[in-house]
Amino acid sequence: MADHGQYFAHTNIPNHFELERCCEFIQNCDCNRVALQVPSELLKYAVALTNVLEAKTGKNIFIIGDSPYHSCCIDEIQAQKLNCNCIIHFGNSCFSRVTAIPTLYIFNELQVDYLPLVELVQNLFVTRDTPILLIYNTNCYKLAKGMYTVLKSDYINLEYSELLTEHTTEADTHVNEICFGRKISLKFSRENYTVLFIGEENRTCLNFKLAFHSNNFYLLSPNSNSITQLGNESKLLKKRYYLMQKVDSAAIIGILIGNMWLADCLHIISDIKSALRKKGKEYYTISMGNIQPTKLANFLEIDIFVLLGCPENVILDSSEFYKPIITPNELYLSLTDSHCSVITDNYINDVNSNIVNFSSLRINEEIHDTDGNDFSESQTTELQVKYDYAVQDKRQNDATVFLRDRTWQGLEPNAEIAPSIVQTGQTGIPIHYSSEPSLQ
Amino acid sequence: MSKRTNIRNMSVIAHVDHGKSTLTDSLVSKAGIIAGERAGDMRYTDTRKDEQERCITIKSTAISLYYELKKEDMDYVLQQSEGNGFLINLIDSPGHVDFSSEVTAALRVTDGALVVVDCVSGVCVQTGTVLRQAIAERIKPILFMNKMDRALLELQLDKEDLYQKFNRIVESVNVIIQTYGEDTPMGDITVTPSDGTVGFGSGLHGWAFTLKQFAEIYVEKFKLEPKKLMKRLWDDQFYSSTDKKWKKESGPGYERGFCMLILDPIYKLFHSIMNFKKDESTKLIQKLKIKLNIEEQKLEGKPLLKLCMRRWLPAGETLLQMITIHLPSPVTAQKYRMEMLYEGPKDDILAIGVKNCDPEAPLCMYVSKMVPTTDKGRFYAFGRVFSGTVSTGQKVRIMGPNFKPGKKEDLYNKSIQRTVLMMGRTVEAIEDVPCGNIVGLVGIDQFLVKTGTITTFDQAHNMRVMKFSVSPVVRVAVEPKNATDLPKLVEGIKRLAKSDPMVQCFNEESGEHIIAGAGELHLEICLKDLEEDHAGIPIKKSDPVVSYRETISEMSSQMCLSKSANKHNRLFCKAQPLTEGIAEDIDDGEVEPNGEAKARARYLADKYEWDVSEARKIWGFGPDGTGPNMLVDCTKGVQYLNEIKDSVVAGFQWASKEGVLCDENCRGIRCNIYDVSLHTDTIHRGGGQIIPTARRVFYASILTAAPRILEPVYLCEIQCPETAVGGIYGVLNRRRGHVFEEYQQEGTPMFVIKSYLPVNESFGFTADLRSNTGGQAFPQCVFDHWQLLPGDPMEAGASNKASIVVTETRKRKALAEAIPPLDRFLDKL
Repeated sequence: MADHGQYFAHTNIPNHFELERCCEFIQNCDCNRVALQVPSELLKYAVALTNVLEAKTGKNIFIIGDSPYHSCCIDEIQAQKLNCNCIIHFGNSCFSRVTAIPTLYIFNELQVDYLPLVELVQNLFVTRDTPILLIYNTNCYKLAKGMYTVLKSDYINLEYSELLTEHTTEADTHVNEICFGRKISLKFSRENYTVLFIGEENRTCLNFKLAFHSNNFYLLSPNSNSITQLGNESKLLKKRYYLMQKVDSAAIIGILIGNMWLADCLHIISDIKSALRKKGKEYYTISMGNIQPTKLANFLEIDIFVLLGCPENVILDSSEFYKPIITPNELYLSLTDSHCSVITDNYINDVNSNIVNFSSLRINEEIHDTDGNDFSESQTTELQVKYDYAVQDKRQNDATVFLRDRTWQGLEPNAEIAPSIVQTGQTGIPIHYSSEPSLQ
Repeated sequence: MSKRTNIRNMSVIAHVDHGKSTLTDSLVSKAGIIAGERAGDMRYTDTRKDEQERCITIKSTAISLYYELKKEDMDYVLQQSEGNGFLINLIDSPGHVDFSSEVTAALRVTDGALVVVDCVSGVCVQTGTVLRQAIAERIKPILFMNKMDRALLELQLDKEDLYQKFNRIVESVNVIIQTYGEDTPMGDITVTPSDGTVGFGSGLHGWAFTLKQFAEIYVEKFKLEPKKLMKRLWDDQFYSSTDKKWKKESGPGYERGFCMLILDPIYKLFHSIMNFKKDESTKLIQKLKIKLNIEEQKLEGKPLLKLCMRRWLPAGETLLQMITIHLPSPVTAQKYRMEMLYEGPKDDILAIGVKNCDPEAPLCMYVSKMVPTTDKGRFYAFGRVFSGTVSTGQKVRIMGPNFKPGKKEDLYNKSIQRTVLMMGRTVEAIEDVPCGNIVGLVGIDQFLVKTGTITTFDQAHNMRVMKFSVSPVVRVAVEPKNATDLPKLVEGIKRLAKSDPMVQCFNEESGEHIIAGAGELHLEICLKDLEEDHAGIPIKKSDPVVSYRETISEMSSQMCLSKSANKHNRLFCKAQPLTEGIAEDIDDGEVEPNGEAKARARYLADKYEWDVSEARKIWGFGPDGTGPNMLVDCTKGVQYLNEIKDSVVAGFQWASKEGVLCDENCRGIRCNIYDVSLHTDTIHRGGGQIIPTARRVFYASILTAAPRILEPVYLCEIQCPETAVGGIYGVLNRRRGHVFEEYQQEGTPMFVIKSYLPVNESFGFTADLRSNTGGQAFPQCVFDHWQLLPGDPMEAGASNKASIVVTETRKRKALAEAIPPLDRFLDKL
């Protein structure tokens, strides 16, 4: 330990990385290879961390950094490549469900005294029976727990959200909702609660703000020791609403995979596909690492993209993108003709939440062709004459139509220039062609 | 109905308040639907409550009438016909400019138009507009001079003056007809009283005549054929009762035929009755063979006058005669209308079917508007069958305006639930309807937004989309007062969009629901309908906002370069203002984006002195592929250039749709690409690299070309008495309007003021004008052109209009407050 003390100049580091828990986890799991997934901002400590843990446990420790998607999601594929059967995940987590691989979450707890914060809360909420829901950023886990133990004696209607660190399926009757990896159980109906979020304004905060967008929402910032009320996100929601309208007119939809190892990913994709088929829309499935405007603009024929990813990263600002990007939930609402609920209801930005159920999607019969005669020409496998001597598949879809309408169809044989006579070219290897003078 | 040669589809068109609906009443009463006494007051075709209250027509209404022409009059019908029974499908249209889209929709399904002109106020701005539209649609006009009672009773003109007034109106109508209908295949469509294509009378009092009526009366006296006599009753034909001779010029003892033989008896009857000279009037009534019963004989003054005139010269009879004799049947009309109507090849089965009006050909029907049913939220698809027969239960292809042959976008295969006839306030179910008729369809409303083509021919092209003379330049954002009502609002907006041919409903990027209409009145009615009928919820509406256009005022000050994200591709570009007039030509369809490139290049070279080689290399129009901006390829010998054309055009569409200043559409910008350097590998010059780069380089070119803002301007016509002129000038001045024409209407104390008024300043204009002129002035505003807003939008300043507009628009659209700086788009070599 002393050898590595130089890396941990900060006295709180062992605490910060919860080395004790890490060692315990590594020793308890029955494999020799363990992966540490470290977000970029903590990468500088990774080597030291590995050394310490290797020394302590005697097992092989690997570092996963620079994840192709986002550091909040468990990078299971990398772990598998490294032949590791368990992962320790550091930093903020989005709690996207992964296939069964033992995982330990280390949240890199903020080391802040919670008593001043408690005081702030007490000053704000004078009436003691206000229903309050306590939500927190992952790095305020202990802080929040501490605050809860102090505050719950004062506030009779204070609710606490437990982090869902292990994906248990235990039937907890008390829990009536799971929201972004947090168990939330509410005594009253949802709209009565005032939400108190501990942490900084980040994606997690935004997701909760959207999920509780009709509630009073306070942000308690432990860094600046302040409490502020946040305005609602109606502007953002309206913008999403606008994007959703585009689904109606879209003929071709791109399904973007933003996170490969999302549990149920394949299952959701196939559900989306069958829903789109029912609606008579075409789709293409595309998997790309980082989502960039330049990459997506290569798919000119696609009218709108649906991004499957972890809830923290699916809401993208569309203004730089050539075609809009929406979330699966938004797609679902659009397909069920209930665009409005994005504004009127609470916006749950989680594919795994129970509101979205593509497989049970019942297509409005009027939109789908009930006569069963929809464009009989597109059903046949006949060939049809395209040009004088060419034939083409009669089953036209929108993408073939798009390709046909493109002005540039590939290189055209230029009939005016006579074909040149074949000549013998250079032979040999590029470093020294046989025609070149000898090196000596 | 199956006798296609005996159908007349016609619309009644005119300036607002010239008495269309009132006149239509006379026709309806003739058919026995309403009592003759009530005709003129009832406004049968104004079916809506607010129409009755405001006394203006808002929606056009169709009715079908049956009329039997007298056997002896059949000679006058110069086209083919069978029997003397005629089916007349009549559409009464609104006169207010804000609703002129209704007129457009009505014109499409009819072949003839009854143009009504108030003989007191003469030809007005809207008369000209609708007439021009009618001719463009190849609709044959006939003229009716309405409100003759006013001319006689209020203006007290003498006979010669009245003739001159009539003559002037006929002439000015013919000027319009000739200007716009110079070489139509319709033949001579000018109106002349001596042919019987001009009627005179009073819709309110229910009487009307053409020269034919009088010619028939005088047949015995002159022993001349009515057709020949009609020639004597108009123009410079003078008669002396002492000499019993006709002469070409006036002289002592000679009086104009029209005045002497037509106006004289009418004047006498008016004078005797209105001056209560009972003896004289009784004598006259007997002489004119007007039969009155005992009770009626006791009447005096106006009621008696009305009754006598109506008995003597019944309006319904006269008008129906005019309509059946002079307006074309579908068979006649579709021969020359087909090429205007059908977009596909002019020799395919459908085109031939339309041309011959063949009930056995495949079905082709154009739906021109949606009419609300009593069943809330459902609509009848109202339109005209041009070819084939439409029947209940028939399986048809429904093609919306975005349908393109060979694709399945905007196309549905559905069966028609029911076919109905529209009878003003009621409908009547009918089994099948052959071509040439106007019909309503049930059960296809959810597949069409507003208009569309219905056919059974699987290779059919669309019928041409209607072109409106007004554009939706005024818009408001609406939202429900109660946020949870949003679904109802959305549903309501959908219905509103269907029920009005022109209103545009869309979502802005900020998620707001925008409703755009032609003018304040139009929007007011739309919003009222939305709130009370379609959505049925309380609505919050924003202040009306105007849509602007972004343009440039000079050539880019430098060659702009943008590099792609991978830095391997470079685009060099400059922007310059489009030669003046081209933007308008694109709007009017003179320069057709989808037309033949060579013809277009020739046109641009001849008219605008473009370089022919450049004019041939127009890559595209934007926004939406058809807008008033052009992308021109000025490069020389660039490798792989064709390969990136689609991507660059896509970038151009994007940039011209969402302008750099405040995300408004661009107008009058020509972007030239001068040079392009590209990576040799296809993958590195794909759409992903090129589209955003093209957009950036166009933004950079626009920013360096002194960008400006254009605002829409109304042409505003105001009629008022002289005393109010001062007040009008005051109001116009305050609202940045400027008067360009002012004249007194001949023979009246009324003044006409024509001015340009920025749409932005027009909110509350009508009310303001009324209060400043004691309610005497009534404006008609119609969108006319785009005008440069003074000031550089890039320079902030409290008095800089352009910059204020940009800032406000950006704020409304929730964009970053400042215009993005040039260096975001411009790269260095």
